[in-house]
Amino acid sequence: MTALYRLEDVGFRYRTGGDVLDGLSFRLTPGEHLGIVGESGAGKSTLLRLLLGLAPVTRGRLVADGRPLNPRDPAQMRAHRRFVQPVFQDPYSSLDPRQRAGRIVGEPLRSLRLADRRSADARARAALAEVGLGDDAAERYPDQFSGGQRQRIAIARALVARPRVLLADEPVSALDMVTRGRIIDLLERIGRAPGGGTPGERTSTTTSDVPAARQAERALTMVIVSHDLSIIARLCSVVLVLYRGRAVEYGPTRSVLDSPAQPYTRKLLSSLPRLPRP
Amino acid sequence: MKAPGANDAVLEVRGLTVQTAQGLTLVDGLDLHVAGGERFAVIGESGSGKSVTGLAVMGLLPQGLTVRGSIRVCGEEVVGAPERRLRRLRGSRVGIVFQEPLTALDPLTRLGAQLGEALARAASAEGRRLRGAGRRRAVREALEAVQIDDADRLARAYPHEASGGQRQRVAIAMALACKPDVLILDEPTTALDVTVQAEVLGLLRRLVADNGMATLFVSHDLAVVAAMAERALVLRAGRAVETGEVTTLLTAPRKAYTRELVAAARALDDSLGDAGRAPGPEGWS
Repeated sequence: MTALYRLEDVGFRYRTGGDVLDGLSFRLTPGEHLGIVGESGAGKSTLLRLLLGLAPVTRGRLVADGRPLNPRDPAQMRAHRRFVQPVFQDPYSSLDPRQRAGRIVGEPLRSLRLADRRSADARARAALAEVGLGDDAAERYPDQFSGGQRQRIAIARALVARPRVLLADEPVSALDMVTRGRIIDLLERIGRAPGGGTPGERTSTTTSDVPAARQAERALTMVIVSHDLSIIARLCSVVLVLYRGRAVEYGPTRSVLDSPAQPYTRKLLSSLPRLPRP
Repeated sequence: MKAPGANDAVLEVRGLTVQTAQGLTLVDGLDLHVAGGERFAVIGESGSGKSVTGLAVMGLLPQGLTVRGSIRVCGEEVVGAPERRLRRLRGSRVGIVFQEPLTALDPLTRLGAQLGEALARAASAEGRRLRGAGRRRAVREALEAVQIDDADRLARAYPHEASGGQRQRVAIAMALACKPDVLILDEPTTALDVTVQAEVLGLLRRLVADNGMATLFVSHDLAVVAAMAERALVLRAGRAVETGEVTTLLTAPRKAYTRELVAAARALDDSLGDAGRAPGPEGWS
């Protein structure tokens, strides 16, 4: 199976200063849900910037969609924007307050010239419906939505151009507990859906047409960056633990949680505040 | 020793109502009672009025808010009290630690000087003068009490030169300078990394136990509250939803809103399985 991302001994450092990332190697296969966990300074944001093509690797190779990613190649970066779409932590600052939700969500379609204005509008509405926002949502401005609803808008915008990979950076950290649960439910549902398309478009490939093995492969591929292991435990099958720019642990989430091999992972796990058993 | 008996209320809030100039009600008829040495929590999501409540107890509400009702700290009324009395109360009876330690710290003053100032104020409230070498020693001891290893170096640092965890430890040391009867902890670890959070929570638990002070722990995080409080009040849109033992709230919540909060927290907690749980007798059940 072709990997969507392949990192080989990737490192990153600023011109002045030490390694921010060092010796990172992993593959992201279609349908996989990868969680990247780490504390501040671990290099999570830098890794995210590399995956999005916002910065070039300074060592090793980062292959995206079969080609070494070169952020300085405008044509490749246009294709890359179709390939991967981000959702950021803060739904208050990530949405343009002067634009209606429908326009915000349709923006990737217009800027990537994937749709004319009218069909961009229709697809934006479908994407808003997919994330649980009603028909009137498209006409409203960001400040008319709650934090959770804004994060839904951000997710709709990320999904509208049907990327292969959804990259979510602390997608629920800014939200209240109850809202957080609902957005996690939404991400879980999206992660199971084939291709990350909107429901209208998906009906053409109903589940019965697709053999089960292909199903998993067609599920939306996700990378979720978080400091909160419980979210990753819930949404991700594979986890990579970053510590000071290095992957100290990488493997199936369940086995990393149940039998962490590294002292840092053990410390991280024992630091988690847990609810008393019911 | 000014510590009141365990049965006396160190904090008694009656019918507290806080409104903005526009007539928006932030806190609505709140009652709560914290006994001497008791670890009490206010649980709420953003906009619930939990931080406003903490500020009201400190007499630190911003101008323009209308406050009605009564807040008594060790018997002294806070609502309507003149600033001079409030300052004395803050320098002796009640301390606060905020979520973001930079709120409490002056960016242009070295950490040691700020802590020294707080310690000197507390000393002067007891009729002592603290200066020179004595003050420097007190600063070092206060920093060591919050588990700062390299106290002398940190004392010379400016806030931006310290890590988040170090800054929060200094803020805690400052709040403890006056040996308060009530320590208000407003999301004190929310801005910290999870490993640092665990250390700071452990430190707070130990300091609270050693000093026998009561705490008003303000948080949205049920797991953290479970570790830090015996009794709690659930606040929503400025109103008390329910009050009770934390264990009861978490295992048998009576009100729909509390049930919803607990279910959301439980769903995430369950996904971790037994990861990170200390192995113990209950692990065998």
